[in-house]
Amino acid sequence: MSVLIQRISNIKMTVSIVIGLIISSFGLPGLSSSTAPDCLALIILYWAMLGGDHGPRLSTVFVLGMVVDFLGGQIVGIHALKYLCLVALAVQFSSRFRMSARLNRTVFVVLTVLALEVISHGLVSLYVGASMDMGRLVAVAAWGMTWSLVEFILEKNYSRVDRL
Amino acid sequence: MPLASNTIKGNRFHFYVKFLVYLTIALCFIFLDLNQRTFTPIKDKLSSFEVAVNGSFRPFKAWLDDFSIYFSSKVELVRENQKLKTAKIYSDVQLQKLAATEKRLEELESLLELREQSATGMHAVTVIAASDSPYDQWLRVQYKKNAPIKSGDYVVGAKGLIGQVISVEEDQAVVRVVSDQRASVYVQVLRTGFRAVVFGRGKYNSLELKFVPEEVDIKVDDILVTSGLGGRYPYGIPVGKVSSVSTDLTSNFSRILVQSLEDPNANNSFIALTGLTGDDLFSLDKLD
Repeated sequence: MSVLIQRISNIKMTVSIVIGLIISSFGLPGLSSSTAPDCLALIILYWAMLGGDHGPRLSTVFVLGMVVDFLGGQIVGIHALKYLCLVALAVQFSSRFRMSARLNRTVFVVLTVLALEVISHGLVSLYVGASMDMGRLVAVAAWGMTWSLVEFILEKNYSRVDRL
Repeated sequence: MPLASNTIKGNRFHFYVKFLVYLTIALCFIFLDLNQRTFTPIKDKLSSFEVAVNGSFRPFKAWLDDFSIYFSSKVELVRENQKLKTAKIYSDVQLQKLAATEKRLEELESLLELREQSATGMHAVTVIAASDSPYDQWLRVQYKKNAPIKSGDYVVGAKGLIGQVISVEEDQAVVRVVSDQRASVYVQVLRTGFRAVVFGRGKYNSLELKFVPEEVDIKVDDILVTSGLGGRYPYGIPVGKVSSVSTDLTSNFSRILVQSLEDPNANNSFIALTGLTGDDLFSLDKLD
């Protein structure tokens, strides 16, 4: 009997999270803050969905969210809330997510990030009394569609097969 | 030994408890930041750090901007190039029309100059059809109704004689071109005053001065003008220029070829001379 052992490189995870943190905090050149992508959210979702037991922990994503909020000058706690919800969704749906086709995954990711954006910024807009930025929602949905690219870049490496 | 399902449920329970705790903390932070602005001083201090980081990324950002400008400008350049090519085609067509209009204007100006020199006995005609068959060279011209144009009237251009009217209808006339085989004109050599008759050869712009004795002084480039013999036809209209003089061994006459000065195909507008005109119609001094 042979068992496929999935090895996840911690270095790869760390590097990808650091890059995502930088891009989410400081933005991409030429893009305004309202349309800048939240790359860290996609990376956290990837590792949470497909990383299994090696995925990021709640404490880690909470701290990452706080860092992004402080560095980006945004409302403290917003990104932490989003990332926590992403990890919770991953725990609930990860097995089904792993078995579904790429297109289904992309659709799920787009709907998820859109829903989280509506909930988080919608609540804030309601509290502050301002209207929601529809351009932001469109940008978020568009960035969600780059999920396939994220998967392609961060794909797991099946490096060893053991016989039992 | 606990069942696997119990272990999974227990793990899940712990997870969701932790999730709720963190969620509550995050919501507290949000509330504190929105309501009390508790973290504003920290964010202000961190903003200077962000400025420093952005400053270090600036060359990279500038390079990315240049990169995107290069491609977007290339696309724009291609698009603009296409537009300019189309505009150039239209401009070329317009230019051709303009060139034709300018040429026509020049013709009319030269005819107007002729008209001004002699106010009477001149009527403008416009070519509406032409034949350059060697056996029958003619022009069909149109003119103003009731113009007193009649058979035999000369038709001239700015440079010289075109031909003679041979038939007249209501507002049209047929003009036999001077180079037609059946055409002949009384001419005089401008330099010497020698009079003779020039005949058409049926070739384009080619005439022949016939029955000129060998001893007559006539050279290449001599100008021939109408002689006005009999007072019926005007004098001094340039007809042609001698292009070659050769002796014919079989006869006592020289073989003199003449090239007509006016090209009937070059213009569309000419003037019909209906009356006797003065000899200052063409500046004969300038013809040499």
